[in-house]
Amino acid sequence: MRRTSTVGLAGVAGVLLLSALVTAQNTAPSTAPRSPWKYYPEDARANVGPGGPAPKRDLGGTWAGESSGAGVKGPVRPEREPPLTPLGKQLWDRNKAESRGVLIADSNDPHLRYCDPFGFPRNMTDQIRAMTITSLPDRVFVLILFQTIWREIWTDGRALPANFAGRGANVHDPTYNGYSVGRWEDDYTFVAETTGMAPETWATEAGHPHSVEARVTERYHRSSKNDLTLTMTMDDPTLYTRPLKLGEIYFRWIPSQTFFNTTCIPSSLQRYLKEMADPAGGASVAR
Amino acid sequence: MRTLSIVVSVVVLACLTTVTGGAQRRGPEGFIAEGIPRMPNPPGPAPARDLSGVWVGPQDEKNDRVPPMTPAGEAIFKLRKPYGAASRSDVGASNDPFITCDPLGFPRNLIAHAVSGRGRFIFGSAPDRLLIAYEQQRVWREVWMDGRALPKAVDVRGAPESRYYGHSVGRWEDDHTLVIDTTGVDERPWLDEEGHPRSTSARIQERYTRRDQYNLQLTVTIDDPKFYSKPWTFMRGNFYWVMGQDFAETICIPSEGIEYRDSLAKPSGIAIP
Repeated sequence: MRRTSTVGLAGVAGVLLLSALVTAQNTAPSTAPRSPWKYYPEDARANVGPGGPAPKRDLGGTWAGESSGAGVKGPVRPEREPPLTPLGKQLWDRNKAESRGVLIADSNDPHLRYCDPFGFPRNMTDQIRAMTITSLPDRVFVLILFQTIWREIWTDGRALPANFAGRGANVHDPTYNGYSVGRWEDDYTFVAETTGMAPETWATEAGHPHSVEARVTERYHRSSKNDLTLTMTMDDPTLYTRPLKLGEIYFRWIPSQTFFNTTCIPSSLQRYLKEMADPAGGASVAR
Repeated sequence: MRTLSIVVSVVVLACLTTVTGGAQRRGPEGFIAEGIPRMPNPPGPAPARDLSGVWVGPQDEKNDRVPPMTPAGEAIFKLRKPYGAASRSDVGASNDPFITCDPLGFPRNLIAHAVSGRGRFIFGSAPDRLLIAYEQQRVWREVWMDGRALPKAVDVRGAPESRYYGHSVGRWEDDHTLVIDTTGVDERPWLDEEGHPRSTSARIQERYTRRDQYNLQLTVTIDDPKFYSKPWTFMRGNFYWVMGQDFAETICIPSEGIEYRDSLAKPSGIAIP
């Protein structure tokens, strides 16, 4: 029981978590009383169909992603043959991603090795379990269930910052989640633009690099009450010869609006690496 | 004690925590460092049943002393090695989970404001619930307002799992007072920098009273018979409305925390004077 909420050790924990979800999927719907505090994937899977028209300009609520056990369609993954500039190629080659066949012991993925924050946009494309969206008068909050972290997208008409180097009143520090602004393109499509992401983070699980000037566009399209599609692209001329497709991610409305938290715990990860993953294979870890 | 402990934390955790963002740079329209925004004075009346917006604090903290612990509580407390002045232990020898940036958990996240000495949070809403997003660690909680009862147990068959930030329900006691009850917190995080424990069965109550447009008083009480001899007021303080309504990004980065511990703190045996 505890495993589903707290193990979360990236790739390895992904196996454990997947096991838990598969177990849940293979189990016939229980007749036991339902706790309002628990997430039941079989109930989410039973919520088929569009469920009615999408409400206008409303993304609010809790949404299940691919790794939720709710039977949500798998995403279109980020491009695996990225159109890199020479500098981009250097950084891409430097990033040793487990998903590109590198052993955990040899990976320098800052999340896989330390539970460092994914940062944006990776936190929208990796470990897609669930998210809650809420709107305030001046911003939209995206609350991500994996790592229990949040990001904000300003909707008050402000412009994105453009200067992330040096000193001065108009200079902004790079951040893990970047700086985001958004607007409704039509009644069912919300578009967000983000820049200023800390360049030490990976843009994807596969290790796509990004610069601080990278600009990510998210298009949230709600096609029905139950269906939300997120399409993401990244424009980063320093590292890519054309905009990179980060993928298309599908979400389904969770009727109970309840989900479980999953958190990568740094101290647990360090024990795991020391006792299991590193002795099991690979050379020294390069960071 | 708490003040000194926080000061020490600031010194140590400044090495572990990345604070980014332009909030403090926003100038006269934004937050003013001392925590008291330049806003119309006197403040207007508090709106009814509305805490929405960004708040900063606590200020004017008045907390009770931690009551005597039960033998079970003492047994856990003795195993903990805080790095604060109270214990005179060094950072490298501490087993505070936050040294490696493990989650602070609730309610420690209300008091451990690593760098600024203060924290911010914002209230939002989703179907049937309130959402609270914190500047510290960029974590969030949800507070169910649909009248459900708190879970009677956690981590047993048929029950929900314990969580770092617990399971919470809320209700309006009157137009200006929101009461939140929480239980089912994961036992691994410490209650405070000194290493006091809290159990999954602890009942933690927050009372938010909006006195006026810009002042929000918070009182947090803890009832945890497994580990403590009586309930007590864990914190009592005031939060202020933030004029700029924005956040910095304040996150403890595990790779930096671990590197600091292993390459600097442990070899040097830093002792807190």
